[in-house]
Amino acid sequence: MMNINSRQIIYIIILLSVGLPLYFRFGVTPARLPSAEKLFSVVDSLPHDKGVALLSFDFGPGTSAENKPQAEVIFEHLLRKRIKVILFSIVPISEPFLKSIPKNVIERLEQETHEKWEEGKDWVNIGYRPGAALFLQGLSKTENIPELISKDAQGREAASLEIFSNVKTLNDVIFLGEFTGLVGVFQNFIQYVQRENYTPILGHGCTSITIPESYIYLDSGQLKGLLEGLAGSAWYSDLLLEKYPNRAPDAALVSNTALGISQLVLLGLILAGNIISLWQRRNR
Amino acid sequence: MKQKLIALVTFISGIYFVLEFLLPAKVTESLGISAEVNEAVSNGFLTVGAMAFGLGVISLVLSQVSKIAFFRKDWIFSLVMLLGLCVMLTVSSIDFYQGEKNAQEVIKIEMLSSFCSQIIKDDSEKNQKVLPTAQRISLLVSEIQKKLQRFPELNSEKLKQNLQLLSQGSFTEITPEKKFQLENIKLDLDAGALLVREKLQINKDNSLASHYFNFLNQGVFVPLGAAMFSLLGFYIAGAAFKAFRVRSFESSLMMISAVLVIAGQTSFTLRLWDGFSPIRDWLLQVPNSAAFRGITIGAGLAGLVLSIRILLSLESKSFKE
Repeated sequence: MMNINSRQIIYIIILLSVGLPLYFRFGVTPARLPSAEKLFSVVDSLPHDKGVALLSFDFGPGTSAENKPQAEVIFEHLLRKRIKVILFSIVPISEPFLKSIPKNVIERLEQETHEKWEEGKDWVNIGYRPGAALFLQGLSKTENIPELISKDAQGREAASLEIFSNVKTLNDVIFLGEFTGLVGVFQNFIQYVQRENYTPILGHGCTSITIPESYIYLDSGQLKGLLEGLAGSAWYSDLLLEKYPNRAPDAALVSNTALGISQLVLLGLILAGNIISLWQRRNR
Repeated sequence: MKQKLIALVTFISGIYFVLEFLLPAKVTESLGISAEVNEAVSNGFLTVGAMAFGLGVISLVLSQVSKIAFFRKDWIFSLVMLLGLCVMLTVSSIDFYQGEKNAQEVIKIEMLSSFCSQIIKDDSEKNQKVLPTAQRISLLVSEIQKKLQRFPELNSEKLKQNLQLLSQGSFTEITPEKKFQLENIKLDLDAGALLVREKLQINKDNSLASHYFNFLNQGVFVPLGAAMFSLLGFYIAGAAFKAFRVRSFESSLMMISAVLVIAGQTSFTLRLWDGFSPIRDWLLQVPNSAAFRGITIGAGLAGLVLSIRILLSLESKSFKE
């Protein structure tokens, strides 16, 4: 008979607790998160004709399970409101997501609404921007954003694109969304993306590990809303479903349910470990 | 001497960015550091950073090649790594080159469109510094015809008609009819450029290099990266069972907080009692924020001190000996 130790049993339990809900697509209503609600109401109240939104996808495959659904729900919400969106990244590993996320979201939206969103007019991907803090500083100081950006990810001149026709300075950016699980990246946006007498509304999507770090900025008002890991995107997705009833449910709900079950299993394991430890100490 | 030079360059480079950020724009401009100068300096530093990246690749290749050449332990993994590096570099370079080539083709068509407007403008301003209008129009027509042969998408009856009308007769200035034809040609070229861009993009997406690039990028890199991080979940579960023991007051406090925070964001526990949510919010807003603010300020101050030490080359032991 195979010699199975406790570690293998734990791994099997975790595999089943995460895998079964995903396989059977078992989803429950996510927990209400006020920070996600705050971000939803902020994005929902943005005017559609007063400027553009900048979204920075600064995550890699490692944190994509949490950051990708966040980026998708915010991008979708902005597109639904017909707010022009500029996508970029300050880390090179996000490049696959700058292509896959708009493709998936727009396909879903066009299927649901039978409307069109044109690249170059309603949204644009300007790709990875090297320099991180240098680029963000340049973005804040420049009097001509199309000139700073120069070309989009497809090599088109930014100045020739319709989306940039009324975008000159940071004052024309009405919303800045940043999604990352990397340490130290988000702080660049807090520090550098501002001009004299103007700071764009900042929303952030973080991983569960960096929630405590991001909360201080939400509390101070520098962040107007926060998506706390997968739970945040699941609640945001639920709010979108409430507002747009024809919207097809996305993967965030099912993933969040699997995460919730696995977190309870983890708590159970901690409890079991402590009980066993206590029992062993008593028996000595 | 070399050490002093390195220290001097380090100091000047660092202090430039510090002063450029802190000083008001008027002061930096009076010192001759305009926005263009700053952009050029920043681009220079980015270029140096890119060179460091290349240096890293060279160093990696050298270390792995020596392992393969002498069949040292685990040489097969080094071979796999180098093969992966070469394949990805090749495929992404080809994909990038194709994208750039397509972009240049469309830019040429857009330039012809801008040229139409420029001809009209120079003619109305009687600009003497350019070629004669007739010659410019002749050049424009021949270039457009070359593009029409290369890209059938540009072909339209309207464009052909306008080109024919424009080529008829000789003239030294733009008549209202010629102006109308030029403006129509510009509109046709603008519309044609979009069609050409779409066609080139479809061709690129269907090309072998693009398929391989997408497969390696989205089909291999992303899932492997996600899988690597997913392993952490299993390790944490194992560690949670074996190592998370409540042995003291502080550890029990930490454990209770962790349980309350998890309970406050999981829908199953909230169904049992919805009071977990405000407790979680309080924990994050009050004790957590207080602690993290202290940590952030402390880390910021430590970072500032370290930056000053690096600026003054006090941390650079490697080239001091």
